[in-house]
Amino acid sequence: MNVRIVTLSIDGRDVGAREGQTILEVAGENGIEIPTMCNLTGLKPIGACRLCVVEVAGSRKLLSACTTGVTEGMQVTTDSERLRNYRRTILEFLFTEGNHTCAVCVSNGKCELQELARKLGMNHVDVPYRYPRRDVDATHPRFVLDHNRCILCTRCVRVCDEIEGAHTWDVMGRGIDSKVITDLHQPWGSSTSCTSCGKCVHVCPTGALFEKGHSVAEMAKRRQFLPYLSTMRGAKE
Amino acid sequence: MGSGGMIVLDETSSMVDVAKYFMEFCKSESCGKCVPCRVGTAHMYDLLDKIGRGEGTARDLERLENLCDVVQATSLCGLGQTAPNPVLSTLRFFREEYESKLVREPDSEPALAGEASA
Ligand code: SF4
Ligand code: SF4
Repeated sequence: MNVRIVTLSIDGRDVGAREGQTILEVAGENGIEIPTMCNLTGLKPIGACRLCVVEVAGSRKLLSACTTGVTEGMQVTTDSERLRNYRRTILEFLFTEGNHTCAVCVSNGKCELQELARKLGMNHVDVPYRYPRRDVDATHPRFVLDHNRCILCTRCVRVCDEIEGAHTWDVMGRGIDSKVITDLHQPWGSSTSCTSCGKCVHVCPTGALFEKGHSVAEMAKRRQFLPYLSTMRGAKE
Repeated sequence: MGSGGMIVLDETSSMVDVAKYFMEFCKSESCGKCVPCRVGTAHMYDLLDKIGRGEGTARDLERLENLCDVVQATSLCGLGQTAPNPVLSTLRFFREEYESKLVREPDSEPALAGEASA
């Protein structure tokens, strides 16, 4: 297989990459961390959370690093005062659109959203909380979906469709009223397509999906299966 | 107004309400995929509503302008990228209408009772 190499600069550093890689992948390989939330290696990138936006010389718009391929001579800036401010506000959006009470959450201390807030230095929230009324679906014998903690990253939707092949999950509604559903908005426990494999639970970045029998701060997610299964899938396609 | 279209209004229309009307449209048309448009349009709508009711503060106006910047710059598609336009153009040409609706805040924080007597 012929692999074409491109060279580009990220934050002033000259780096080499294989053609077809994304900015996010190349930055990661070179030890430059770009914050993300919807992205998960092994699932198709969708550029939805917008936390990974970067500046690219010559582009008026900011581009999401997870969905933008590298090109020869590209000049990328992943960190600036402006980008930091945008990322902070987007993170505040995620916290204010749902109801996150970390102190009583199964994922407290093991949550990607909480961890990112710590990393980005989110010490207060400036945009007003929305306090929406949201439900909890505990009808499944082993798992629970708490909409209050869902950030609509759609990792559950993608892993169920792309890896498990069941496509139990989907998104219903639009805008601020969107929510994830199982089957055609039936209780999870009555779903006929769900195989109870639990992949959605373990890719979920927050405490929105968890296993029953876990109390506060006890829900650690295990994702070892993902690189293996996605490589197998890729080889088959 | 966002799309480049022209709208004729007489001087009795409140520009804050006009911006809110357009924001209501963007909020309900947002598909919900990307975070800045999904959540940002809802927050901007709430702030416009608050200012329109005469309950907004100078800080809320500052917040609104910041949200316009974030949503415009980071949204995934054209809907989110242009959603702040009606707010930005009404602010550019009719800023005093917004400001006249703000709650007057005291110039400085009142001293705490304990401090004043000490
Ligand atoms: S999901 Fe994460 S951010 Fe939300 S309440 Fe739980 S620990 Fe906190
Ligand atoms: S349930 Fe979890 S994985 Fe699914 S969209 Fe919500 S936060 Fe993401």
